[in-house]
Amino acid sequence: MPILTVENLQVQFTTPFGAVKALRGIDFELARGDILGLVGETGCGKSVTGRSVMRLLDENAQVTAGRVIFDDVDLLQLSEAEMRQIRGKRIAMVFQDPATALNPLFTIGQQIKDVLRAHSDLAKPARQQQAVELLASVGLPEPAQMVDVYPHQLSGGQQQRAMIALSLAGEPEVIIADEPTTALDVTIQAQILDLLRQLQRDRAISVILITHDLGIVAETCQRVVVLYAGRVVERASVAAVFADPQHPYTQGLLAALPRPGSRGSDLKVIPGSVPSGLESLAGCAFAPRCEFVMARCREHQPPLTIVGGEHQSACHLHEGAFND
Amino acid sequence: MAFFSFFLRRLGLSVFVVGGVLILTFIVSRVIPSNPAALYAGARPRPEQVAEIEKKLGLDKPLTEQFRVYVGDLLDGDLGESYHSRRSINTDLRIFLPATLELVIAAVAIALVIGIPIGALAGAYPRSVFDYATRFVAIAGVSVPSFWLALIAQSVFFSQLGWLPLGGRVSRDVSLFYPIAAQTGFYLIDAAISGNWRAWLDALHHLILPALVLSAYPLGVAIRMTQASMLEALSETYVTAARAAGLSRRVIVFKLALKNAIMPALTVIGLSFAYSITGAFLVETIFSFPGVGKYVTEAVLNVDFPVIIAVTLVVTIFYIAVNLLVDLVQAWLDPRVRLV
Amino acid sequence: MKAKARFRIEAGSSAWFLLRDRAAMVSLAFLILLAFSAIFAPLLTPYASQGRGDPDLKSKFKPPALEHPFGTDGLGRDQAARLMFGARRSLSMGLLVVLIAIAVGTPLGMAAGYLGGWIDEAIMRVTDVFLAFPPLLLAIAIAAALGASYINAVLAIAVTWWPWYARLARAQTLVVKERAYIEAARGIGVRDRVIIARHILPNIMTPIVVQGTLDVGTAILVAAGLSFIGLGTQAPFADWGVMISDGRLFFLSGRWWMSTFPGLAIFLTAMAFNFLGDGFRVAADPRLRRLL
Repeated sequence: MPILTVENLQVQFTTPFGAVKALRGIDFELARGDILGLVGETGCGKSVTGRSVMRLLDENAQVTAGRVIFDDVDLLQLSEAEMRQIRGKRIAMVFQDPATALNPLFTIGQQIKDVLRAHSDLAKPARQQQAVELLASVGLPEPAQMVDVYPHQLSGGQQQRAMIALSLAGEPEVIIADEPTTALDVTIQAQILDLLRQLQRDRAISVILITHDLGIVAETCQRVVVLYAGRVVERASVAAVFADPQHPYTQGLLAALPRPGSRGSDLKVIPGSVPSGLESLAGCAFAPRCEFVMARCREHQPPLTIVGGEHQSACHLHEGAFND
Repeated sequence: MAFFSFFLRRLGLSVFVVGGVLILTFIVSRVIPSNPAALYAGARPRPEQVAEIEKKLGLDKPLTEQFRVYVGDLLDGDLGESYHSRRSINTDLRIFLPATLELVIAAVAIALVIGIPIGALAGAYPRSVFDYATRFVAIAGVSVPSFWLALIAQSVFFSQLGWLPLGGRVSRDVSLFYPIAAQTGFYLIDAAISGNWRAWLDALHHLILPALVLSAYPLGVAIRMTQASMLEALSETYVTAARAAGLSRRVIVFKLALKNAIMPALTVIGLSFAYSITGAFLVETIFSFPGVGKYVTEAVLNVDFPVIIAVTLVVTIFYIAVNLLVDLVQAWLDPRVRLV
Repeated sequence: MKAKARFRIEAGSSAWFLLRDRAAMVSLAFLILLAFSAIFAPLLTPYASQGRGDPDLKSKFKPPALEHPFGTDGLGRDQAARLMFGARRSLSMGLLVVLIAIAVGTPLGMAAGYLGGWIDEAIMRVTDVFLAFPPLLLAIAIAAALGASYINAVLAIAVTWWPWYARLARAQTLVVKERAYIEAARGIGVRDRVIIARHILPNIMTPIVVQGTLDVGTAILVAAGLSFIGLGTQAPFADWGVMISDGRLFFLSGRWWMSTFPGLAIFLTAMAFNFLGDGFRVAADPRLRRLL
């Protein structure tokens, strides 16, 4: 049974320009102990999905439909007080830029201890002890000193480790990592991804990894969900998607990925850009940019269809293939 | 050490600014007036008086030489002599300056103690009724003419309610029968030191109304600045991160965000000081409060120019010192400056 | 219909946000009304000559009544007329101070920000010196040195005010300067003067106008303060500060109206400029719109 299930999630933002649809109904499951990649270009709804699960959307955003099932409970139905018992304690979050996600005026230790106090019955000395252990577990050197250090005294990679330690303080079952390596140097990126894999392995934590980088997904994840314009266009195991991408958008993303031996000129770019949430989409959202576009693509939205095993894709191209 | 180098730089800037202030006041007193000697001689001087002043100020000498003498006198601590009373300005200021400082400190304290929590609360609950009410109060505070508010306050608290005295620093019977032994010039401190509680209460009674009136403008500024920085702090990612960690709103607002919001809000201490001083110049006369404000407004009426320039100089140097202190405290509290 | 379409205000634009700000719109209406009554004061009151200072000793100290809705003062002058004529001076003092301060401060600030180097350093250190004085105090000294008059009060306050605009203009220029089109213009050898006037100035005007609007209210307060202590408008003319000063000795003895109404006029006008400026500020800044 999956640990987290998202069903038909729809979110819109109220703006002076009208209602902007950020999520147009997305479905996916996070299996226990998995790392699930949530992929797409900027503006496709990845971060909104993460925020919706945590119920941390801005005030002008409303969830208009859907369910987020975690441990047999729909998180969207919980009161704010009940939700606080979920946040940090059962589902935690890691942010893109640790330099802004850590409070500059409190030491790393103080910030971890605040979370411990919110979510555990530990006494003061035990909280101190626990903070040191958490910092050690994310591979920070000299953790006993690190507790008394302010964020600006750490390097970017160390800050992100501290942020991860913070997210582990409530001993969560799920971590939502929103572009956790985007703000970091390439070499540091690999270390942070290693750390996430290690946590998944050693602590049996399930991870949703939000990223725009399919390369990271290939290295880190077991399964992947590809989002486009607030819809799921493809979902499958990482192996299946990389071996045999079904949706033209996924194919485009993969073609844009640098591979060993490829030169700059070999990289393909998908022409055009993601449609804004202001537009109502009659057919397939990707149709205007798709090289295989057909007449019906512009009129009917293609449903997610099984293209083999647990591999699903939302494209009219598949209909012919499987009906035959 | 980052703080030490910051300290040196900031101190250097203050010394430079004091130098600039000396030059500017010199220009205002000797270069701008078409006939400086006439200004220094006061209203309707006799020609021989003007000639005497000209000689005394060295107005026949080149400006650089005049400036040297001007600065030299100030370095000796000599602020000159009032034309009107013929008293040494140093002596006058020793009495009037502590009175105004006592008043201004009380006003600043009121503005900060009320303004910062209210502003923070309004910033924490944007678009609430409290937020709108607070914004209205803040704008009213920075819009009301202090000298008019002083009249209204006198009418309400003296004439109508009879709760507070009309003006002055102490009542006549207290100054006659329980005189305050002057040491610091701050009545509340002097009376407390000598255990003269009757006078202490009386001085406090006289301080309340002018201090409240003076605090209106800095209160408005304190509310607005704290509210803005609270709003700013609450929109930061670390607040979202704290919410994602399941911390309660109370902890997030009053522990995490408040500390970040207070930092920029500390700047209002310096500003509050400036605005209270400004108010003092307009309000002290109305309250017959014997401070530098009343001293200067009377000097304006008597065209007593040496007094105006001396007070400008002394109060400005006080203000520079306050700002220096605020900046240093602010830097010391910020780990990003204190630690490398 | 066509003309109407041309002036349509798009949803979400700055103007749209401003129009939705009720406090700002009420303030704007109030200020327009006030400016109107100041400009057309001679036509709006039967006591125009009293507004300019002529006494009418037969009707001294009349409390507010139908004939004199705001009462009369110690020289029998109709206070409603005095208020309207006083508005001319109080409003113009506030506006002039801010306009002069902007006219002096903005070019200096742009030069400092754009040219950098020792010019920047020199201009900024000069602003440091001016801002080291508590507001009003330097203005009192300068006004006293120049001699008490309406225009000297304006100049004295403006001298203490321009550094704020120099700093604001400098900060904005530093931001705008980094934009690609300005770097491109420099790259192809467009003269600095042209770049500053054509590309930088239009891009930094918004924050300056916002600050200017907020400042007019404060400048009116400061000007009234100078007049109150006798360094501004001189008799027989009066601005609102002078009127408060004239009435203050009678205030507690029952003749409350002489100081009350001019004080209220300053209060409401300063509030209106603050609300309007706040409205501008929020409308012009998408980030603030989201926060507020």
